[in-house]
Amino acid sequence: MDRSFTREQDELRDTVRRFLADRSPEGAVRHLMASADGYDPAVWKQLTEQLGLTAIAIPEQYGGAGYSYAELVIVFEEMGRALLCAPYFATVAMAANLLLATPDESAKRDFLPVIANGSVIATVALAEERGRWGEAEITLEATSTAAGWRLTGEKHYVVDGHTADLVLVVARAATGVSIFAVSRGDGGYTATPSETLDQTRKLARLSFDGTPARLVGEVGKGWPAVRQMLDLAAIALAAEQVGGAQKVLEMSVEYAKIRVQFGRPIGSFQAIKHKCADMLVAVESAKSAAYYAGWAAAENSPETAVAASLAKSYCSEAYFQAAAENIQIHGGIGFTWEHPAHLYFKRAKSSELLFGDAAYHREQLAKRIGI
Amino acid sequence: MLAQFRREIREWIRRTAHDGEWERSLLAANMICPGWPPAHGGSGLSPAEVFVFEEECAKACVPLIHRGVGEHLVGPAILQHGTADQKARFLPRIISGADRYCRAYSEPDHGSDLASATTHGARTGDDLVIHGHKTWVAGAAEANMLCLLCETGGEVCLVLVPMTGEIQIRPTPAMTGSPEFHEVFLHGARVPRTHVIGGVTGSWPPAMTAANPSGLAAANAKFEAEFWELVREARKTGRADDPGVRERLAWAYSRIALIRAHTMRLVTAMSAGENTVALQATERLLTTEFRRHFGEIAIDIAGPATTVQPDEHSTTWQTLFLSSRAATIDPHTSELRRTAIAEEILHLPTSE
Ligand SMILES: Cc1cc2nc3c(=O)[nH]c(=O)nc-3n(C[C@H](O)[C@H](O)[C@H](O)COP(=O)(O)OP(=O)(O)OC[C@H]3O[C@@H](n4cnc5c(N)ncnc54)[C@H](O)[C@@H]3O)c2cc1C
Repeated sequence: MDRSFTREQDELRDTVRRFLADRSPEGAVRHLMASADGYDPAVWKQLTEQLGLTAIAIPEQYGGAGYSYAELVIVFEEMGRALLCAPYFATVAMAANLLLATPDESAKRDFLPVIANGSVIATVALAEERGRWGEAEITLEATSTAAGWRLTGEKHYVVDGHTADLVLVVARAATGVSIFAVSRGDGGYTATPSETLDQTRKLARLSFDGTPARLVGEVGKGWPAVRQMLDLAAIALAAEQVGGAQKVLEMSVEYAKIRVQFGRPIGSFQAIKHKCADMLVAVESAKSAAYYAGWAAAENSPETAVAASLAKSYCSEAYFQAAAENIQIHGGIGFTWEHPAHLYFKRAKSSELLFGDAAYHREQLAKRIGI
Repeated sequence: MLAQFRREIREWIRRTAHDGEWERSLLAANMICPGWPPAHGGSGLSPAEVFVFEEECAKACVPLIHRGVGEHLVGPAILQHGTADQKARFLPRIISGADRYCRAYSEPDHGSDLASATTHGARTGDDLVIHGHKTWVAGAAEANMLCLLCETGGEVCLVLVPMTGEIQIRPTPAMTGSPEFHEVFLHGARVPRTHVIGGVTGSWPPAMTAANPSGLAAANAKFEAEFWELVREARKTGRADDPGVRERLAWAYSRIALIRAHTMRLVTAMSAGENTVALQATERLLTTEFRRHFGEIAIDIAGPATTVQPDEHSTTWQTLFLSSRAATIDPHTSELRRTAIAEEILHLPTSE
């Protein structure tokens, strides 16, 4: 517990914040969220090649920079704050974490370096139509043929599934859940972008019909790696949520100081003050939960799973409440398309539902502490 | 660094705790009020080290010796605002246990609005002669010193007052049924003006000295112990399998884990000398509101047994249920805490 952020980590935060202020201002977010691909390849190039953000937590032996999850938490927090539209979450929080969690050395050597250098966008196809995240939900079929593995079935809610070059598919073989890799370049599946509530994060539906695929790890033994990826992705999402929640708190407080009604700033009314105070408490405690989980993950601590469920459940609720109060504090202007409040409100809800909502994670936590 | 401190202190507790003279050993080792500077009888531990020490005491099941109001309010006020003389005079007596303080701030007509307190200290030569009426003073029966808030010619100040003949106390039964606090009547209590902390003028700040973070880890350990006791209770009555009960238990545990993560972050930031007002205010609201909520969850889960003639078990949950209502009232109500966050931390305009 003798951890706070180091000077280098503070500098990383500053660098990322400045980069995003410049390259992902509200205008860019609005432009990209309305576009089909949902990201700007030029920004992606800078983010990966210049800043090296995809390499951060990948070990050096796989072409990464060898930093830890504590650094990633900072990056995700800043991206959540800026509502960055880019396949970073899918590539880093999902695909890279899943690869790192598998025992498959050759897959790691083949895929991690190209993820680290930014040349490959990757994602994980996990949930199916029911939109649930448990092992029992996996029905997409993997069959072994003389010519190799074939996948048949559908995946839903695949983050950046229509732009990913590499998709890690969680499928069910005769002996159990297994992980497979397919490449968009091989053209064996179709990806249909979904109309999303939160336009700043693209989702797709993927259809497989006898699609050739490469087995990653051992057949039938894929779930523990998926489980670990889900925990780490939940921590990354919690960090994003913290960044968004901090931003809406700032928006609310700023507006409460300048909007005048009845001859005084609305921030002088106690009803508004107390909403802002509750937002601050939610944001500061959400940070505590997300950072704690990030440090646990960085140290590969046995507390990581419990910390992940704590962070995901608490930060989900904190962000949604803050984003909702932000609309209320802004009144009518907060309900307009023109005002950014709804962008955060929608991101808050979509993040809450991704990988299990607060109640689901409290149930996970209950199981994990043995009650 | 902290990990090494943890190993050392754990070992020290292990060696020291079973010699039967725990309090004396703590005194000898300057480990009562351990966060105070060595020059004033403490060990100069950082807030994070105090936190670790408390955690290790809880793990080893040895009692934490805490000097109450003297440790968390009077001592910090003196350390921050007192004269060298006051430090030498009052601090050692808090540590040794010779002086046991109670906090006499609230009055019948002034609770949240302490700046308007009317208990009056008349300046007479080198002395203050104090008249007034205080209410809801917890621990007054066990105390020999008042940490008193009083007004002297327009200034509200903090005075340390021995509880001698001119001071009477009368118990006020609380809703728990026990005499948790007292009224205190001051009829011309005389103290030297050197007992005013920070001087007679401008000494409002000492009364508001941010509570020392001592006791945070001890409180966390208590929350967790109570939680597992409640789980056992739920298993005994068969309620543990009810999904609604599980959800509430899981909620409670997640809050306890959250509070632990937050308090660790707080003491780490304090030890690094960072500005922690927002973190501290967050900790207070988070913890006090959790307390009250846990009291409600506990009595629901423990069930009807807690509502009848109490046996040993039912009193635990009943008492928790009742006493936890005070968490969001004393020492500051949640409403006042929210307003303070809004005005002092977020700098929203005051209502005037
Ligand atoms: C168990 C217990 C132990 C206590 N121990 C001590 C002790 O040891 N020493 C001591 O001095 N006191 C003690 N107190 C008293 C406690 O500090 C006061 O009760 C508290 O400060 C509130 O003051 P009050 O009761 O006068 O309520 P009031 O100030 O009258 O408040 C009543 C209600 O009005 C609200 N309110 C007041 N002002 C505002 C405002 N500006 N904006 C919005 N809402 C407002 C409050 O939040 C509250 O809901 C104790 C109380 C309890 C319950």
